[in-house]
Amino acid sequence: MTDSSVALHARNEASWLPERGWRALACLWLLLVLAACAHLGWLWQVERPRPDSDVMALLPQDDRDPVAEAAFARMATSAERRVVVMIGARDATMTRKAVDAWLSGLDGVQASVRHRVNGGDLAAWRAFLAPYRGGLIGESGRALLASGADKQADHALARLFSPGGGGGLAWREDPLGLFGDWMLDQASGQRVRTVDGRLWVSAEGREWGVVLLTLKEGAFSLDAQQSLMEHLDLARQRAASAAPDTEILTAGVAPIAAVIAREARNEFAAIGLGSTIGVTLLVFLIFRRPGALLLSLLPLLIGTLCAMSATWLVFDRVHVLTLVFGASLIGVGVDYGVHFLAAGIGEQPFDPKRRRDQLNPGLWLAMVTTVLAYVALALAPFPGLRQMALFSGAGLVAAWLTVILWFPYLQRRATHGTGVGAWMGHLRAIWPTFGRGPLGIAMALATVLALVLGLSRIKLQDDVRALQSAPAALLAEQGRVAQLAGVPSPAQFFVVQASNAEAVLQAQEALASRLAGRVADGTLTGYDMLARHIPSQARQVADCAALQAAYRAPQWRERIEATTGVDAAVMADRLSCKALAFDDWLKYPVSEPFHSLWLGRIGTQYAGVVLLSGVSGAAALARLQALGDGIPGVSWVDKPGRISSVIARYRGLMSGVIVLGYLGSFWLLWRRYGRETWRAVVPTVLASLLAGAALGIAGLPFQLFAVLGLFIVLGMGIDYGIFLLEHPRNDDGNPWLAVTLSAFSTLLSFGLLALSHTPALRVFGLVCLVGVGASWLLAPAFARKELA
Amino acid sequence: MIRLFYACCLLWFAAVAQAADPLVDKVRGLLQQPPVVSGRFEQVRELSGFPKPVNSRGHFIVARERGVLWQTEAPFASSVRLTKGEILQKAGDTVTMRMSADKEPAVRAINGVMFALLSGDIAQLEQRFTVTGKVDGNRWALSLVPREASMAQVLSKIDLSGQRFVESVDMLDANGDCTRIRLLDITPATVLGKAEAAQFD
Repeated sequence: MTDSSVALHARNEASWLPERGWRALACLWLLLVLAACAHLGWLWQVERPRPDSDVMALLPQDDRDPVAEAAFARMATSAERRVVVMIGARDATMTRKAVDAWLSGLDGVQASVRHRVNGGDLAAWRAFLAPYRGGLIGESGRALLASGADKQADHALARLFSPGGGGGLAWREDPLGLFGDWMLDQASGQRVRTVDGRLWVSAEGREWGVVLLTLKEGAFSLDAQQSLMEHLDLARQRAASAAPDTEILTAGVAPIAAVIAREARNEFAAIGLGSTIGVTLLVFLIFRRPGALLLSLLPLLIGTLCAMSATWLVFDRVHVLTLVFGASLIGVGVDYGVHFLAAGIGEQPFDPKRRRDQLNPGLWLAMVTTVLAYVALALAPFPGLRQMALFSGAGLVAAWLTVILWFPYLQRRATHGTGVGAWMGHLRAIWPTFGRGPLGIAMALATVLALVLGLSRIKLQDDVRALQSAPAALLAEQGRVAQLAGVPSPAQFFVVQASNAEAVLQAQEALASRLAGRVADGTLTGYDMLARHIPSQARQVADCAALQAAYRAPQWRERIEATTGVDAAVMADRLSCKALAFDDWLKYPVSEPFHSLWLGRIGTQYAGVVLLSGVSGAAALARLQALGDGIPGVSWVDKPGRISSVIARYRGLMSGVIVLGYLGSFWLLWRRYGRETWRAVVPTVLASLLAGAALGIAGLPFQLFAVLGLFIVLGMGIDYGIFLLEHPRNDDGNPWLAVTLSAFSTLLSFGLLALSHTPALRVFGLVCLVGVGASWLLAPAFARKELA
Repeated sequence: MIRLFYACCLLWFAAVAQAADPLVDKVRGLLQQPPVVSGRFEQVRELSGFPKPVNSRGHFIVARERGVLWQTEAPFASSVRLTKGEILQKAGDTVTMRMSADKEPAVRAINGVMFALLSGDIAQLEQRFTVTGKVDGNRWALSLVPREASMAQVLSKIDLSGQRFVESVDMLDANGDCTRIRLLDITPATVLGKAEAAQFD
């Protein structure tokens, strides 16, 4: 290994360690593995950690705007814990029955359940707010105040004689109905109302009872998810039997996360099972010895154990996707062992220790290039990628150590070739050379054609929402609930910050007049902000002054007095024009429903959010984004948009890392193989390009997870080249047999991910399928035809 | 009249099924419920702080398929129209208020109660009010007290009386205001006249 030119083609490399040393290392490794087992056992018994399923946990933190970040965190936390259930029947009686039956299914659920509000609230609200009525005026009220005394008198008298009017106040307290309109506007946009004290929505020809659940644990705790889903199922059954023809809609992060997690677990199990069966069959077909089979699975087992132990040692929480990725490790972890066993077929005399010394340099290079490819993943500041890098890297090193240190002592009997194995190995000798001979030319043409076809159609995709897949039916249900109940979006909103609450309210009022224009043109259907429920002091004072002036206008006084005998100037005197102070309002229960709009103090600033509803499409978002420009303290928060841009950045960055990976591998191999190195690297580069082209042909987007797949192709493909370079004689079928086994086991594991329901994994799987498959096909086509 | 319910927009009422009541059955036997009823009204409103009652009069139409039209002619021309989708209030020809059921779901409930009061749909009213009363020959008189506390905060009670049709509606607000309505020259019809139908469009 010291002198590469000498080492090349050497069939009898001297061991760099005396046998005693190897034995000691093997024992040391045994101790480490036992320690990992103990660690896992302790975890299992004591901590019982559950893997995460929150996709957001896989994404990087972005701290450019701490207030916006805090706002988003708060919104996300409360949104994540909320589950809205709507229970709808044809008439109110059935709905009540269904709701009560539904609620009975929730006994013992880990959540606070709300489906009623106190019916007495309204009078108390009115009593609290009425003294400040002069300053509590809405948009339409301000327009009326600007319209002149005659119009105002018409309005007031129409209210008096027609049976309309009021707002609960006597006519002379609020002749124009401004306070009544303002009160009414408090709830407008919120479609959920109170009927007989119940939360209620009447829509689409159904009467809907609304139940709000606030989970005690986050939506992504698997335990909480499972318990919630069980309760929801039971509740659904009870409601259905109490009132048939009841429609039940559920919206919330937790139900969706539960379904995704369940799917991931099922896929994890299916892919794990599929690849285990496939690999087992393959190994059995080639070696036909249960002992060899068990032995070849050992590195895999040890690798997985060590990977789990290392990951939980470093990270507090481990993500489900890390485990799915880890399930894929099965294909790679088995490689080294298979290679070791395959190389021993027909070995004369049987000497696994000598074989270790021969294989060690190649296996070492193979392991190092793969692990380097994985470790490069950790460069991205995505917590999930780091977990995956550690999990895979640790697993591979462990698998390699198991093969190198234990196999020479564990393999007691020589493996005998089988017909299938011999035939497979023989294929190498007759494999076409790329671009030579009819088959070789066909191969080259097919490659070029696929590259041209596919790469021209490739499209990029960095939208974070496209990485995961909630079942369409569930998403549609969420959409219906959002529409029926008028739920604002928790993902995009404005944050308004200033040095005090009054300034926040004033900035919101400035934003409100711009938003009103966007409501008018249909960009959004509504918005909610604190200033709608508690106007700024400045606005209250100005509005009240305008109202007093209107009450004192001569023409107004004349007309009101003529019809009613009441002197309208008294109305002005009865207005105190004392503004309702923000802090008083915040302390009074009247403000409680709106507390979620107030973020309070963050650092030196105060902040509130402006929620938007009915925004759909990127174009609408783009129109809204700039709306706050020029109003100090207003910032636009679009977390999915921002995460998507981070993903785009890292897709680019990691594509660069891949190029570096190839250069690094080239350099590593150059030291050993010199001018032959290209034979290992070029087929893998071609295979990577073909994998990209496959995405284009399949109509799948090239996204971050495709880049991840290319890392696998880099790690594995170069291994194949190394194994062939290590054994350059093409009548030596064993290394090719090992490569074939490895490739097929990889296709059975990573490739199976192409069947996943998660778009990200599907892309990853396809890249691996095509990339590794092509590496396997191309590697011998670029190998040197060296005869004995 | 709507004033009572207008304030309740935030709280809006749903139907509660009630068991049959002999009194209600008797009154229902006396009342006719043709598809269209029209006539004149006289309204007297006694408002706290007002030196004298405020009187008004005009025409009304209650059409089962369309809704309620309440046209004040004196002393000030104004109108209120209640349809399935909205409440529209006008002073002369100027719209002074428009409330749509899409934005304000309570509109449907308000319109339902208004329609029930003027057309004498006792079954409908029973869902929201406790009904007591008496029947004397062809005359009947009912007293309605809100079942729902939130409604009672605005409205103390409603007295309804009549023979074949509802002839008077007296409402006592919780704040002491009182509104008395007499319905006169009541004419039943099976369909809306052309001119009347146009007013609902």
